[in-house]
Formats: sequence, structure tokens, C-alpha cells
Amino acid sequence: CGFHLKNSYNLPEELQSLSVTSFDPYGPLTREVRNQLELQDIKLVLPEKDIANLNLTGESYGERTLSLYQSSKVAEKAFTYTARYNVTVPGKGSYAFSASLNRSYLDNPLTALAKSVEQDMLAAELRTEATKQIMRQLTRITRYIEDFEQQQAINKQVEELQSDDGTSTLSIENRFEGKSDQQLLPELFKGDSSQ
Amino acid sequence: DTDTTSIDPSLITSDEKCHKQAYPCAVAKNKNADDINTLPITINASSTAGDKEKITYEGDVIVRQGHRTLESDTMVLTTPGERQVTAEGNVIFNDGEMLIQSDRIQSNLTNQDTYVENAKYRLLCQSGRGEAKKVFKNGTTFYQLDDGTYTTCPEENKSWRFGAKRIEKKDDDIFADMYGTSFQILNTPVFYLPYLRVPVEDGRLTGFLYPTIGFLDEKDGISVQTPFYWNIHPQADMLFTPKLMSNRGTQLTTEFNYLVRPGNGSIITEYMPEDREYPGVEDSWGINWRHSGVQDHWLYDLDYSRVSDITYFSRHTDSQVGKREDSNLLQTAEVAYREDSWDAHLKVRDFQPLTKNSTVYRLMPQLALNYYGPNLPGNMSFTVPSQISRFETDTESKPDATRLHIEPTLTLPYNLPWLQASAEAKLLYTYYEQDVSSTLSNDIRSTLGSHTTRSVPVVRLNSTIILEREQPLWGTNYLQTLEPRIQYLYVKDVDQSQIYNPVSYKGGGYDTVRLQTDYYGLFRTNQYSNIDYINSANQFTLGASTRFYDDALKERFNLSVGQIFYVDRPFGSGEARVNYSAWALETEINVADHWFLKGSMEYDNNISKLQFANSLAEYRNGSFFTQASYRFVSKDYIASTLRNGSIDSITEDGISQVGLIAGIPITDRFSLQGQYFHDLTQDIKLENQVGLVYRDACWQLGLTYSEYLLSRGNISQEPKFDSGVSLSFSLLGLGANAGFGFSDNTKSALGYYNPYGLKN
Amino acid sequence: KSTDMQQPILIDADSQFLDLKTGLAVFNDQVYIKQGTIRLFADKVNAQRVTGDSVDAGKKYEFIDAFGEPVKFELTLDDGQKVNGRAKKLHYDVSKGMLKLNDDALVEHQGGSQVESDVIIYDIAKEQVSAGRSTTTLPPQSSSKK
Repeated sequence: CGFHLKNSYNLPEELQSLSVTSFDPYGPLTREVRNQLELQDIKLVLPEKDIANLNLTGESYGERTLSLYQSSKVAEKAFTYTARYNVTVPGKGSYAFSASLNRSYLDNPLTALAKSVEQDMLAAELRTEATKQIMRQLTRITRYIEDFEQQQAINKQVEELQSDDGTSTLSIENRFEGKSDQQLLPELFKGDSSQ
Repeated sequence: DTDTTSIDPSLITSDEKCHKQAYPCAVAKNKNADDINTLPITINASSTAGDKEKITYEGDVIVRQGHRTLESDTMVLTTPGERQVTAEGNVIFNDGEMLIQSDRIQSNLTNQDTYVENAKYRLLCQSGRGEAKKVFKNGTTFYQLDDGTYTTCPEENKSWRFGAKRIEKKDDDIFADMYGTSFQILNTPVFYLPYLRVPVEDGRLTGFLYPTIGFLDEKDGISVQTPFYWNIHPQADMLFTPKLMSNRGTQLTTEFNYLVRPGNGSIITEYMPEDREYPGVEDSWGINWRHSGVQDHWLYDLDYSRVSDITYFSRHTDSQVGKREDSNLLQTAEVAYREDSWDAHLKVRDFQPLTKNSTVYRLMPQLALNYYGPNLPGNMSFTVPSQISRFETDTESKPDATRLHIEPTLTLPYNLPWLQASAEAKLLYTYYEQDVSSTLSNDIRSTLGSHTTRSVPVVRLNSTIILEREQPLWGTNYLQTLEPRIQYLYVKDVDQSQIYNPVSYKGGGYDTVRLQTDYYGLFRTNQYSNIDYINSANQFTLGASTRFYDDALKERFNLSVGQIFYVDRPFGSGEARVNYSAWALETEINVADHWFLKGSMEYDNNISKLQFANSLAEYRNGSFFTQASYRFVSKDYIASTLRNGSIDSITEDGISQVGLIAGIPITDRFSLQGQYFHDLTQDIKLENQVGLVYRDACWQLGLTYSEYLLSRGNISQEPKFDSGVSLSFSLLGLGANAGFGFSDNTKSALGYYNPYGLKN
Repeated sequence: KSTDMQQPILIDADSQFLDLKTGLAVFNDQVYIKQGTIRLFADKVNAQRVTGDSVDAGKKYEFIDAFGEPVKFELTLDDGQKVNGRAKKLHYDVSKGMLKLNDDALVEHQGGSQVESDVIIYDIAKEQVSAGRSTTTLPPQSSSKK
């Protein structure tokens, strides 16, 4: 039915070597993200001017009551974990992401300590799950960079077009021979119209 | 009372002139005002006459220095030493922050001191305008208005304004101070305040002073709540909120926020000396201190709450220290030192129980030491988590204990683009020292070991294969993945009856309780929250996920299903012999960032019963949003998870709860917001709340009716409800966060829940 | 200075031409004029002597018209401060002590304000400046720090 083995992590070329900085350099999230990146054959280097950077900006926990027993005491609680980060590709823009996950669990008034330990355990599980989600989100940068480059190409072409003063012998017509207007125009101004 | 004389409009230039030229906010990018003073001053005029000491200008006079301008009909400049400028007639002064119109302005161009009479002013970088009999501006650091007014309403909108004997604003402060203030509606004073602080910029000024008035509340009667804000220091501020309740008396809440190198935190205190609604109660108080901070290798975390008595939250339902449906108040603190290859955590944790006969263990303390070995060849890793914990309880029938646990683990991960595999082998070694005292019941004392050890080897093999294909759907070319996942888990079966665990002893377990098994729980090594009980295992877990990514590779849909297949389920684990577990499902979809759906369920086909199921659907479009939710948990599933005796007192037939939340803008000024939660097992209303919000250009009125089920010991009694109406009035434009949307009334336990993983 | 008005006007130039009948003297190339503290430098000057039967006839100048790219002048006030100015055309009404500057006119009080306009009138005795549509520039001062 058309399925084939996934042939590449499809991470952009620019992310093959990466520096990882973090709000909590020795914290568990930083440790897990570094491990996952190394597992995907990404070379981790110290921050440098022309090397892409992944900066973990923060993580946060939240708790919310989801349902009540008929005695109006808490039945189910939701535990939320969110990790925030942004990826800067030199010369290709900076992109902010957040990975958030939720688990619900049954609250139990009699085993308070066990329930709080359960929360710590859920936090660790969600952090691992969030790291996997981060890896999946990084593939989106491939498209962001493609859009960025395409936009740059269009801007350059429009500039060239406008800077053609009278002196140049090339006129617009013969400058683009062989390409039908239809094919050219959308290409040339697609970027602007869709913005 | 201030008698702000109304300024003769003819004196003031017509507004058209002021509005014709747009006066943009031009705060000097770098706050160093000196360089503005070093710029040359130019004066243009239709005619000039004078000598070196005094020059008179007439006709469209404009004085400019950098972005500062002063315009007037006539002007006299005296130049020896301090350059003094006196401008008269249609005067407009603009320093990029404040625009002042008046009939006479005197300004010293050297030290920028400026005096204005009969002024009409407008803040350019924020919303805020008003009039003043006299304005004094010293250099660039300080504005002072005498007999002035302040409002954020647009011109000609007389909804509200503050009149004050004196208004002061320091240059880069985010607030202005007013002395001898009267709050006026349609220019008639409504109430008088000796001193008042108003936020004029966004920034940290939270919870500004908009009074919340509640009435028709059965318990409080009529209540007025007015926070006062005190910005002590850029790193610390304080909020005093007296709440006057006609039926009960006065409660004072203070919130102190601070920022120091080792992190930031807040201390909330609530105090009520006496409560006419509860005459027996004296000095009802509550405190909550939260702190969190990361300082390089060090980590600090604190969350301590305490209240004066068990029924505190039923009396103070809008307390910020805890919630009325909480059963225990957490009191925990942690200090950790972390390095690349190891980290150490020292933790203490206690609780203040809010139910009478609660048996709560304390962690006094726990020292956790984790070692992370260097990456060995082939990415193999060797880690040794370990912890020493001391458990204490006041309950006679439960033992105190010290537990030492060490867990050397060897992990070999292997990754390819289409494969995520890992092999894990670990040995769980635990030593207990349990106080087998005479106060314990006989059957516990007979089997409980005072000194006992347990070592459990664990092997886990886990692999996920990732398959892909293009899948065009409704005009978008999706990338679909199929991720079958298989895990083999072996946990040796050992005798644990000597350990006070939740399986062998009813209500047992120091910090261990059975976990709820959802899809992700199927792949856990241990079905319990910690190691007081390690469930043996010889099983395969089969699961599969599928995801749809749109053309921007953004995940739009995922569905995961899984089930455990037991190879041999050792006899005597207290459950009927089964050879497969319940199967669990998780799914989520995000359609065009407008529709969000999320659901999960678990069905046990051994007993062909649905154990739990919940679903959430949301539609969001601009400021319109609506969320419908349904949650079901079967009663015997609750009983099997809680395992502490009968639960008939808290639930009749498990959870079957439906909820609806909606925020609907009716007109550009009116919006309706409401939420309703209903319990289907007893067909009773749990909570409902309806709010109408009217939002004018510079103020907002919120009328909220809320009702919620009162907690009751025995659920067969008639359900009783507490209801109340609250009117909240707030001034808009006073700093970005002074205006607020639908205030999440702290009385309601349930509310809007945003669990979406695919929302961004 | 206010005493400048009583001083004699001395004019030096590379070439000069005097029309006895009309009393008009024309000076060309590098024309310097000196009267007390007043200094004036121009490319071309028409100096009209007093005519008719007044006692000063033939001895004093009635007015002086100076032209230059630009004409420059400088004088010292009673308190010793200097004033200088320039313009494309300058008309000096000697009897009234009035300097009328035309076209890119500028008058500057040394260390003080500087006035630019199309037409500036400077009254030497009263030490006063007046102009039509004008731009005054005050150089930055070391502001006394608050």
C-alpha cells in the first residue's frame, strides 16, 4: 500500500552540526535533547558564528483539575509539560517552537506522597516524549529554510529587475527569452502575492 | 475634594490641529538623554527681532532639538548663560513621550526644566491624557502635574477620569503616583483616595487596582476587593488586597514577589481575624511560598502551603493558597547540584492533610545520587540512579521506614532513519529498614520484615520501525508515517511480601501507588509510581502509531493503539489469569488551526468493559471559541487503582462528566462567556458559570454568575450549591495587562483545558 | 561699539573709481572697509558720498552697497563680544547705522545664537537683529547637569 522504510531523518543540511545552549545547561531536558540529537548522527559542537544553534529557552509544568467525584472532590487531574526552544540557522532566520504534552491521572487523597512521586515520574516520562516531539518538529525547518531561500531569490530578482536602468542593452523581453510569460510571472512574483 | 476648574476650550488649540500632525511616540532608543541636550537647537519663525540677550519670534514659531519640538504663535528667547524660552499662544510641546498643549510654556533649553500653565496633555507611548493647571517637567527625569486629571479614554469620552491635587511620573517608571485623588465618572467625583498608583506602561505591574464587587453571594453577601500595588524595588513588589464582605468582615491578602540571583518566587499570605459567618473560627490564615531558580550547577525549588485549619478552603473558596477541591497541601523543598556526569538532589516533602482521617507519609528527607557514565562505543550508556529515603507518618497503624535503592542500568540504543531500537538491562537492588512497632496490626507485623532486601533483574528490548508514504488527502499532499512498535519486558518475580507494598498490604506503599495505564503506560517497566512494589513481567507489548504531516511537515493528526500480551502470568498476583491486557488508544487532530480534537480510551476485553474514555473537541476562530468535553472512568477501574477500601462515599458509579465552554463575541463591545459541567451518573450539575463582558474604549464591565456543587461527606445526601454574582469593573489601557479578558473565577475547579500537542 | 559711528570710514581696494559729479565711488577686487571696530570685506563696493548742501557733503558717505560671494562683516559690541555676518548683498546706511543684509544672510553672535534668513537688518547702535522668515540656531551648550 505504498509504505516504504523512512530513508532519511530529513533534517536540513544546515543542522548536521549544531550547538545546543540551554536555560539549564545541567538539567535533564538538556541532557535528553543532546542524547537524542547524537542518536540522529548530529555533530554537537560549541557555539560558533556560522554554526546553527538550538537554544532551549524554558520548560514549565502545569496542573489542572479535569473531573470531580460526586462528592465534589478531585477525581482526574491533568499534568502538563511544555518545553520551549528556538533554532537559529545562520543567515537563514530564527524559528521558535514549543513541545507540550499532557497526561491525566486519578488523584488519591490518601496517598499524597505517592501521588506527588507519580507526578515527578510523569514529568520525566513527558520530558522524554517531548524530546521525541522536538526531533519531529526539527524536520519542519527544512521547509522554513526552503521558503526563506525562495523568498530571498524572488527579492533578488525583483531588485535586479528594478535596477535595470535605460543604459543596459537588455530589455525585459529578450532578457528572459525562451521562458513563456505564464511560466515566469507566477514564479517571479509568487512570493509577493502570497505574502 | 479637588475642584478641577474646567479649562476654557477656546484657550486650547483645536484638536484638529493636534490630530492633523500625527505625533508618534519617539522615546529616545537609548535612554541616555544627555546626547539630546548636546544637539543644536534650531528656531524657525516668520519674523525675528532682538539682540544677543533677548530675541523675539513671531508667527508659526517652531523650536527643535533632536526629536523634541515646541511650537507657538510667539516666543521670547533669552540667551546669556541659561537659555530661557517663553512661548505663548497655541503652544504645543512634544518630547516624544508627552504632548502638551497650552497657552503658555516656559522652558529652560539648557537643563530642560519646563513650566506649563493650563495644559492639556497626551502620553504618546501609552494611552493616557488629561488636563492640568500647572505642569512642571524637570529635565528628562520627572513630570509633575498640579490640579490635573488622568484618563485613558479617547477625546470627548468622559466615561471616567482621575482628578488629583498632584500627579508625578518619573521618566522610565511604568507607573504614575497621584496624591489627593478623586475617581470621577462623567466628571463627577465618585470616591476619594489620598494616594493612588496608576500603571501607565506595560511591565511588571500586575493586578492593578481594579475593584471587583461581588453581590448576591449567599456566603459573602456584598464584597468589595481592591488591590493596592507597591513597587518596592525593581526586583521586588507587593500587592495588598483587602476584601470587605458585608456578611463576614474583612480579609487581607498580600502577595510579595521577588527576584534574586538564586531565582525568583512569591509569598502569598491570607488573614482574616474573625468571621461573622463562622463565629467559632478565630484568626483564619493561609500562606503559600513558591521559589524556583537555576544558578549554573545549583537548582532550588520550594513550594510550601499551610492553612490554619482543615475547613479553611470551604470558608475561603477564592483562596490563592490552594483550591477547595484539594485533598492535601504540598510542602516540598529541593536543592540539587548537577554536573555532566552526576547529580545530587536533597529533597524533603510533607503535606498538610485537608481530610480528617487521612494517613499521609512524609519524606524526611530523600537524597538521590545519579551517575551518568561516559558514552561507550556504539552509544552504549551506563547509568546508576540511586536514592536513600526516610519515610515517616503520624498514623500508628503504618510503619516508618528507611529505604536504600540502587539501579545500575546498561542501555544500548541503535538508531537508523527507519529504526529506533534499544536494549536495556538493569538490576534493581533495594534494602528496607522498617519499624515493626507494636502499634501495627497483627497481620502486618506477622509478615513485615524489619530488615529486608530485594534485588530484581530487568531486561527490556524495544524497537520501533518507521514507514512513510505520500498520501494526498483533500487537496493537500500529506506525508503519512506508520510506526509499529514492539517491546519485550522481563522482570523477575520475587517475593516482596516483607516490604510494606500496596499489593500485599491494603493501603500499603510508602511513595508507591498503582499507575493509570494509558497508551504510554503500556511500555513502562513498572506499573507503579516507585519501587515499593515491582510488578513481575514476562510480556510483549505491541503498539502502532500513525501520523499525518502537511506540506510544511507540520504534524496534523496522530493515532496510537497498543496492548500487552503476557507470556505467562505468574499465579498469585491477585488478578484473574489473563493473557493480554486492556488495549489503549490515543488520538489528536488539528484541522487548519481552527478545529482541535483529542481523545484517549482503554478497553479491557478480558472483562469486556471500558475502563476509561475521554474526548475533547474545540473550535477556535478569532475571539470566538468553544470547547466540548466528555470524561468517563468506570467505578471498578477507580477501585482497582485507588485500592484503599470502599469508594462508595466519593462516587456512586464512577465518573461520567460532560462539559461545555464557550466564548462568543456578540457585538464589537459585548461578549458572552460561559462554562457548564454536568455529572451524568447522578444527573447533577457540578459547576456552571455565565459571564457577560462589556468592553468600552477605556473601561470594561464583567457581570458573572457562578454556581458550584458544595463538597459533601455522603453522596446520597441532597446536593447543595454555592452561587454568587460578581461584578468586576476594570479600567482599560492602564498598562497592557491591566485590562483582562474573562477572569477565570478562582471559585470554579473545572474550566478551559488546553492539552493540544499539535497546536503550534 | 556704539562709538564706531563717529569713526571715519576707510576703504581700501585694488582699484577704485570716483564720479565727482554724483559723489559715487566704486571699488573693485578685495575691498576692505574699516570703521572703528567694524570690518567689512567684499568683492565690489559702491560708496555714495553725502551730496547737496549739508555740512558733511563730500566728506562722509551716505550709504555703502557691498557685493560678494559672500560679503563678510565683523564688529565688536560694547561688552567686547564679537558679531559677524555675511550675505550676498549688504547695504550700510551710514547715517542711521543700519546694516541690511540680503540673499543668504547670516548674523552670528560669537558663542551665541546665529540667525539665517533672506533679509536681516542689524542696528549697530542698538546692537539689534531683526529678520523676516528666519532660522535661528543655538549651538549645543555643555548643559549644566541636573
